[in-house]
Amino acid sequence: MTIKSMNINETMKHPKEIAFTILMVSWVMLFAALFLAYALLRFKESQWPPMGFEEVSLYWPIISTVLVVISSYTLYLFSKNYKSNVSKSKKYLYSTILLGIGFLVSQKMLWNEMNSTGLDVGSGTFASIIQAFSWIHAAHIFMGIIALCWLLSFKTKANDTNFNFRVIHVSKFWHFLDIVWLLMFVTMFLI
Amino acid sequence: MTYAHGKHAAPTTFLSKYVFSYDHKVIGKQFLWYGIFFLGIGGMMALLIRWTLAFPGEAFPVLGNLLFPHTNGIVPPDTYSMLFTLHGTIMIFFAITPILIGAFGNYCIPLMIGARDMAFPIFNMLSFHIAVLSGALLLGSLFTPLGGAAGGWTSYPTLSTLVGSPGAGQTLWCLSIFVLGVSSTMGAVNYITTVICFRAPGMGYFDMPLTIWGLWLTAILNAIFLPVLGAGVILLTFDRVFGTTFFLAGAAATSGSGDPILFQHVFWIFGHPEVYILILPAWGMVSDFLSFFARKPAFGAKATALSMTTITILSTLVYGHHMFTTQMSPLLTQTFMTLTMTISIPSAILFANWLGTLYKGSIRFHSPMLFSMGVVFVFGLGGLTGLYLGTVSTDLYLHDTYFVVGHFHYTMAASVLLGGYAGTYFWFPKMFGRMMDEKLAKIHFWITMVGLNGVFMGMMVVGFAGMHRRLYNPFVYEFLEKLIPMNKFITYSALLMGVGQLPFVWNFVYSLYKGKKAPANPWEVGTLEWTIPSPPIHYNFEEIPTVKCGPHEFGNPKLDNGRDFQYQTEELAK
Repeated sequence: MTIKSMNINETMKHPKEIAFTILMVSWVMLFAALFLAYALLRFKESQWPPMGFEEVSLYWPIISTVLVVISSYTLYLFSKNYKSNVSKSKKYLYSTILLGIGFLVSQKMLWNEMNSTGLDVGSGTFASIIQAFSWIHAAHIFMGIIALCWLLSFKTKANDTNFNFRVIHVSKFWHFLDIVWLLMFVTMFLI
Repeated sequence: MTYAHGKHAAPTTFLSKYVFSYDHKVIGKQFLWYGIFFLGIGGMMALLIRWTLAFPGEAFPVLGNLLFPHTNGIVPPDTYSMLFTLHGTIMIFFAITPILIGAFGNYCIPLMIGARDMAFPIFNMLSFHIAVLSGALLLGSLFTPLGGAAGGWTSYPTLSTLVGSPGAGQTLWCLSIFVLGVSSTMGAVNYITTVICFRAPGMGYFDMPLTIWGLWLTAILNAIFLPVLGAGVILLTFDRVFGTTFFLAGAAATSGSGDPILFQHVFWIFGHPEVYILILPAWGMVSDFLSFFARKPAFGAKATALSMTTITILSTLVYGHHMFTTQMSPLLTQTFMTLTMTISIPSAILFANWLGTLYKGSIRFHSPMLFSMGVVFVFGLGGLTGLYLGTVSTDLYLHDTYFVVGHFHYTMAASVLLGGYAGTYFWFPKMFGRMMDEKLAKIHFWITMVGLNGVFMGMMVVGFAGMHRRLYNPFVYEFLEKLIPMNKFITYSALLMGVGQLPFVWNFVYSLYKGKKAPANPWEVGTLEWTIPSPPIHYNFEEIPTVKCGPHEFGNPKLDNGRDFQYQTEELAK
C-alpha cells in the first residue's frame, strides 16, 4: 500500500510550530503559577524581606544575569549564521553551551552563599522562594543545555527543514528561560 | 508545503505492534485497558468506603480479613482516609482521564477528522508510557510503610504536608500527579495540533463532529492548566522533601511563614477547568449520539460548539467558588458567584440543544443512545444542584457536606461514566470489528442507572441533612444517627451498581472474541470513521477523504439513495 503524504495549506503554519507554541503556553503557565505563589506570599508580609532577614547579595545574581543574557545573544548569532558560516557559528554554539553551564555554576554558588548566610530553604518563605524557583529554573536550563547539544550536528544538516525547526524551537526555549530569569532577577533580588 | 505522514511501515513483532506502537488506534486501546483497570480498583475502593459508612465497625465481607488482618477485617480509620483519597485520585486522573481523553481522544480524533495518525506519533506513544509510570508510582505508594496519600484528592495542606501526613505515600502521590501532568500535556499538544492541521480537505471547524469539539477544547484546557497543578505539586514536594515552607504557616514555619490557602488557589485554578476537562469529551459525544440515534441533524450544532467554547473560557474564571469558606473577601465571593452563575447561560443553551435534537426525532433506543439519554438526565440533575453550591449563602451551609459529594458525582462521575459507556458501546465495533450484545448492554444500563441514582441522590439527601464528607464514623454525632438507614440504602445502591458492571465486563470480554461480526456501518451514521472498514487498516485511509457536508445530515427529504443519512464525503443532497 502506498501512503501519500498529506498536503497542507501553504498559508498554514507547520504542525511543529503550532505544537511548540502550545508547549510554550504550558511552560509559561508553569512559571506564571510560581510567580503567582510568590506574589501571594510576598504581599502577605508587611515588609520584604520579612523581619529578621537580610537582602541576598547581588554578586552572584548579577553574574548569572550577565551570563544568561550573553548566552541568548550568542545563540541568536548562531541561529543567524549556521547556514552560511560554519566556523563562526561553531564558536557561537559552543560559547552558548559554556555560558549555560556557567549560569548553572553561578546558581550553585548563589545557593551555597545563601546556605552559608543562614538563608537555607527551611529558614522561611523568603529563602524558600528564591531557592526553589531558581532550582526549577535551573532544571529547565539544564534541559536547555541538552537541547543545545542536540544542535551540534548543524554542519551536515544546515539545509534540513526538520533541523531548521529544531534551531528555531531550541532558541525560543532558551530565550524564554532568559526572560524568566530576568523577571526573577528583578522581582526577587532588585525590588 | 507537504508534511510527510505515514513514515512508519506496518509493525510486525508483538512488541512493536502492541507495546511500543506509534499507531493512534493501538495507543487508544492501551489507554482504554489502562483506564478500565484503574476504574475497577477505584470502584472497589468506593465499595469499601460505602461499607464503612453503612456498617461502621463491622468487618468487610469476604475480602475484609484478607485486606485488613490486623483489625479482623474492619476498615481502620487511617486506611479509610487513604481509601477516599485514592478513590478520588484514581477515578479522576487514572480512570476518566485515560478512558475519555486518552482512549477516545486517541482513537477518534484522527479517524473522525480523516487523518492517518496523530501529528506526532512518537510523542503520543511516550505519553502513554509516561502515564504507565505515573500509575506505577501511585500504586507503589500503597506499599510504603505508612500507606498511600491520605489528605483527600485535593491534598490541601496542612493535611498533605509532613505535619499532616508523614511517610512517602503523599510524596509519591505528588510525583505521580506531576508525571501524569507531563503525560497529559504531551497528549494535549498532540490533539490540538492534529485537529488544527490534519482535518481532511473541506472540513471546516464547524464540520467537525461535536465529539472532536469536546476533545479539542479539553486538550486546550489541559495544555493551559495542567502546568499550574504541576507547579503546585512541585512546591508541595519541595515542602515535603527539602523543607521549604510554602504551605506551612504558624508554628510549623519559622518567620516569614507560608500559606496553606496558597495551595488551594493554585489547586483550584487548575481544578475548576479540570472538571470541564473531564466533562467536555462526554458532552461532545452525547451531542453527537443524540443526533445519530434521533436520526435528526443536531439541533443548533454550531451553537452547541460555541457554548462549549464559552464554557471553556468561563471555566477559567470561576475557581474561587471552591473557596468561599476560606475567609475570602465578600467582594470576591460575590464576583466569583456571579461569574459562576454566568456559566448557566451557555450550559442552558447546550442543554436546550440536546432536547431540541430529541424533539420529534425518530429515536432508536440502541445502547449508546440509552447511555446518552442517561447523561442528559444525570447531567441535568448535577448541573442544577451546582447552582446551590455556586451561591455563597447556600454554599456556606453545604460546603464539605455530602451534598457536594453527590453534586460532583452526578456531574463528574455519573455523566462521564455514562458518557464513557456510550462511547464504548458506540465505537466497540470500530475498534474490534465485533458487536457488543445489545440485551446485556440494556441490562447494564438499567441496573447502573438505578444504582447510580440511588447512590448519588442518597448522598445529596444525607448531605442536606448535614452529614459531612470524609468522616470515618459520622454517627458518633448524635444528630447524624438517624441517617444510618439512609446510608445503608446508599450502600445497597452502590453494591447494586457494582454488580451491574458485571454484565458489561462479561459483554466486553465475550464480544471481543465471540461477538457478532460488525457490519460496515452498524449505527448508520455518516462520520468519516464509518467510511472505512472496521477495524481500520494501518494508517486508516487509503485515500484521504474530501469532506463535503457536516456530520449530522439525517432525514434530509431530498436524499434519494435509500438511506436516511449521508456520509460526510457525499455532496449535500439538494
